[in-house]
This record gives sequence, C-alpha cells and structure tokens, in this order.
Amino acid sequence: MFWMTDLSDVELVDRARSGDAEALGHLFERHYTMVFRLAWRWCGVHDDAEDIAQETFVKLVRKLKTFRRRSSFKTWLYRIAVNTARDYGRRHGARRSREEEYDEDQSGHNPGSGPVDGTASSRLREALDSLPVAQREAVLLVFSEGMSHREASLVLGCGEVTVSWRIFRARARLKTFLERGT
Amino acid sequence: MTDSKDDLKRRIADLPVPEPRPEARGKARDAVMTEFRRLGREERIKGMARVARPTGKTPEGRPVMRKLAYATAGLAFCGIAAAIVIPNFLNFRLKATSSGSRSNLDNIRSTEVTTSSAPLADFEAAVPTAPPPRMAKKAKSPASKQRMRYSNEPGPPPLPQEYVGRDRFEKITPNPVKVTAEEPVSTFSVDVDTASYAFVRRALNAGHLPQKNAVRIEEMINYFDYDYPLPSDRSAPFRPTVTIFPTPWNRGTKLLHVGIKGLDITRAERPRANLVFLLDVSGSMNATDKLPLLKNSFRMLVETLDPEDTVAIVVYAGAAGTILEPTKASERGRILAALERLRAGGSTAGGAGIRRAYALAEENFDPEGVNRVILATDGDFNVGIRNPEELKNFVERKRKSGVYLSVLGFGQGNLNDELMQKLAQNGNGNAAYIDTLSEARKVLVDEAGGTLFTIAKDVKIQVEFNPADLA
Repeated sequence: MFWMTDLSDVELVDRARSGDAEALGHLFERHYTMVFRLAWRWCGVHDDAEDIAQETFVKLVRKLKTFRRRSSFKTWLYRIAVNTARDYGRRHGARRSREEEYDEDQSGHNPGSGPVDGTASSRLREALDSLPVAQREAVLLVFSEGMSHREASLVLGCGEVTVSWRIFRARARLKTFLERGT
Repeated sequence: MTDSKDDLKRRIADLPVPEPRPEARGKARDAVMTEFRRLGREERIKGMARVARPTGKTPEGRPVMRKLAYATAGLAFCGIAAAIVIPNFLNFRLKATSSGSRSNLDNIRSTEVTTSSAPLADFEAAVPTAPPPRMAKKAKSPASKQRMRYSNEPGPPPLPQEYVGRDRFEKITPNPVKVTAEEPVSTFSVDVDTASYAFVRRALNAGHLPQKNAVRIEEMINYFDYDYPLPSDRSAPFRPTVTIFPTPWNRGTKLLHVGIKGLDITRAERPRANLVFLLDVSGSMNATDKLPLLKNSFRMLVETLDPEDTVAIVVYAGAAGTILEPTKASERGRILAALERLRAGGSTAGGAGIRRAYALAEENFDPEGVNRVILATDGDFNVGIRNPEELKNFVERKRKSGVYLSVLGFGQGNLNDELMQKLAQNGNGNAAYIDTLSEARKVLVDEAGGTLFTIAKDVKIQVEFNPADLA
C-alpha cells in the first residue's frame, strides 16, 4: 500500500514539480501550522500571520522549480517564510498592539492554549519586539524554532559567526530590557 | 535566575502561540492550489501548440441567432431517460452496464446501476480527453481526503489532477425511468443555461478532469447551435422540431429529440434594455481570467447596445458602491470609462451590492422593456447577506417586480456554481460561465436573444407519450 504521507518532503517536492497537485497539498498540510507559528511569532498579529503563511506557500509554489535537492526542504521553506515576513513587515509598517491582539486570541480563536502568566510573557514579547530586525530573526530561529546557529545561518543567508554574534547581542539587549522593566 | 542563559531561551521558546484558524488554512490552501494550477497552465501553453477548441468558429462567420431555448436537446435526453423504454431494453441495458466502461465513468459522474443512467453512460465515457483512472477504486488510500487517485508503481509522473478547490456544484441525480402506462405525460422546464459546458471545456483544456457535478449533460447540448427552422410568424412564437432516431449506443432503444426554436427578435424590434451590471471587484477577482476578462466582456456588450438602452454599474467588494448611475448607451464613452476604472480589492459583500443593483433597476424601470441585473462574480458572497436562502428569496421577490437576474461566472477555484444557478433560476434569468473572450461574445452578444432579451419566461413543455406505442 502506498501512502503519500510516507514520502519525504523532497520526494513530495519532486512530485509537485511534475504536476502532482496532491503532493503539493500534502506539503502544505504538513508545514502550514509551522509556518503560521513562525509568522505569528514574528508579527504577533493573527490576521497578518495568516497572510504571511499564505503568501509563503504561494511563493513556494512559484519557486518549486528552483529548489535544489541537496539543500534541506525545511531550510528552504524557512528562508521563504522569513523573507516573506520581513517584506510583509516592511510593507505594512507599524504593527498593531501585541497585547490587544493576544487577548483577543485567548478569548476568541484559541481558548485552549493553557494558562499564561500574562504580564511576564507580554513583557518578554515586548522585549523581543524591541530587538533590531536581524537580531529578532536570529532569536526566532534559534530560540523559538530550536535551530543550531549553523542551520539559522543557512536560512538567513549569512555566516554562522554572524548568527552567533546577533544572538549574543540580542541576549544582552533582552536582559537589559527585562531588568529595567521590573 | 531570569538572566541565566538557558532560562531565557526556554522562556522564549515557551511563549504561547495561537493556532491558525481553519478558514485561514482553507483559504491559504486554495490560494496555493490556484497558483499551482495557473503555473501549470502557463507551462502547458508554453509547451504545446494551441489546443483546438471544440467551438472554434469565428464569431464573424456565424449568423447571429436569437434563440429562445437550447433546452431542446436537453429535453431529448431527459426524454429518453424518462420515458422511452422499449420492451426487453432492461435486460440489454444491464448487460451493457456491466460490460461497459464503467470505471471511466467514475471519474466523470457517479453512476449507480440504475436504469436511467445507463443510456447516459456511454455518452459520458466519450468525453474525449478523460484519462483513465489510474487505479482500481478499492485501492484508494483511506488516508487521502482528496478525490485524486495515485499509483504505487514508479512509472510516469502523475497526471495533473483537478484540485476541486471551493468550486461548488449541486449534486446531480439522474431522473428515474418512468413507465408511460402510469405516467404518459412528462413536463420539462426549459432551461437555456450553458455554464457547465464552458466550465468542463476549461478543465479539459487545462488537462484535468472537471468535478463530476460540474457536468450537466443538458447544458452540453444546449451549448451548440442546431439551426432549427424559425417560427413562421408572430402568431406562433415557438416552433418545435421533433426527431426520433435509434440510440447510437443501444440498438434496443430510440432517442427522441425535441428542439424548440423561439421567435427571432430582430434588432429593430428589440425592447429597450435597462441593464444594471453588478460586478464583483473583490480581491479574488484580481487574476487575468477574472476582472480583465470581465471588463472586456462588458465592453463588448456595451458596444452592441442601442442608444436608448441604459446601463448602470454597481460594484461590490468591502463595501458596495454605485460607480455609474443609469446612463444611456448613447453616452458610450462614459460607460466604458467607468468600466475601465474598475480595480480589484477587498472582500466580497454580494448581498449589499445586489440590493443596490435592484434598487437602481427599479428606479429606472421600463414596463415595456427588459429590466435586468447582470451579476458577474467569481463565486462567493462571503459578506453581506450571509444566508444564501435569504439571498435567493430576495431575488425571487424582485423577480415579481419585473427585474430579472443573469449570473456570469468567472475564473476558477472559488466558483459557487450552485448558488449561481439558484440565484439565476429564482431571478428568472440564466447562468453562464465565461472562460474566454469568445465565450463572452457568445453569451452576451450572439445569444443575447436567448439570454438577455427574452421572448418568454417560465417556459414548460409537456410531452405526452402514447403508452400503446411506448413502454
């Protein structure tokens, strides 16, 4: 018995490239939530995160042909997602208030996400928001997505050392921000 | 403690993240699949010569026929399904079904082994480019929620398959066989829709199968011009053409074909038209086969109007708006300029727009003329009157006031054919699907007589069969 769900990402990409819509559908289902979460962490606004996730996958379809088998699919997808999020932020300027949006999420879309220490986590989020874009991206990939500096450097298209440096700077900044606040 | 290295990392990693909404996921999926199909089409176009079109007639070369009803041949089909069953047919048919190409059919339209669907079966199987199913039905993976099939062997790459998207079609149930001894009289509603043909053609040209419920056989037949003789004079507005011939795929039965030709309204006699274009300019219309095609189609229609006809334009997206008050067609420039200015953007509020369009049509109502709202959309009415039932009732109420509705569908991926059909039916109008400019010309110009300038409404036909001759 053949299951499409058994195929690796790269195999699905190959199939999608030769016109198999179902393979593409599987790729989408497999990674949509991950991309959405990344986008949400980036912008903190539900609608925007959904837009970013959608745009990421539309771009993925357009770029299918350029995917190189030797690189990792995840890295590739992350790169598209991070670039999309960055462009989106640039286009849409000021972000809406994170807290407001988050409260809405808690009461509305997502009642079951568990108890949250509202003040502490919103404070931390504020701190993350205050980071320069490059540092925020590095923190997002390394801390939230659990990537190694090497993996993050592949996604961001910079040197590994640069990622380490950004993380180092970001840590210092976050620390100062959090200490000053409390 | 809070500044310990790992603690910070853990706290950031643990920040709660909401889940995406299922609607957003569905929308994203549709967008992805639409893009995938678009790119696939582009590639195929690059890679191959122009697909021969089944209706490749040049518009100039064909006489402008004003037809009342293409339903004719559709009736013929209903006719065989409903009534003409010659003795011993039953046995023969069952054999034909079991030995026939049933597996092919599964792809096109579900066929129960019922008496009525058998004659239709081979007709459907003859749809030219339908690729055979790749695998027996039972091998379908239970994990797959899609309607697609795939195969295990490495073989050639899978055929491009239609992702059904959110194009919605009403389920088709074939009419059962009737016995003429019990019910000698059959009544048919005349229907001049052709949307299904264009939709199916588009899918096949793009190299994938249409949804089974998108295939409405009567519309395949309605689509074409049969050159029936015209009614001789005004006293008999309809002229039937009846032919009986042996069923090509089944020698045990005969087909009855009832063609009806309505009076040809010449241009000079055409009543004044009071048209309101209700145009969907929501964000989803932003594709080459949608808004730009829509603009060109309506431009073409405007070019053919008489100077006394009036046109108004209402658009709906985030908010409904009148962009052109009723304007005489003699001021063509103003109408065309208004069309030119249309831009896509925002979400769809079909309900609000429909109210405004009807209000304009009523304001400018001409009791002698044709009063019609022409709705052009790619599908959903996702804001405004949320309840399709309510929308339908509204359209039906308005039909009593003399304002009718025609619905033109554009694009693919979001088409709500079911609602389109219902709205058109309740609004005393018709629904067509526009995939190309020549299709637009066919519907809006060549056949305006059958679709926009009607000579009759609510036409029903009764055929009485003689049970002595016919089982």
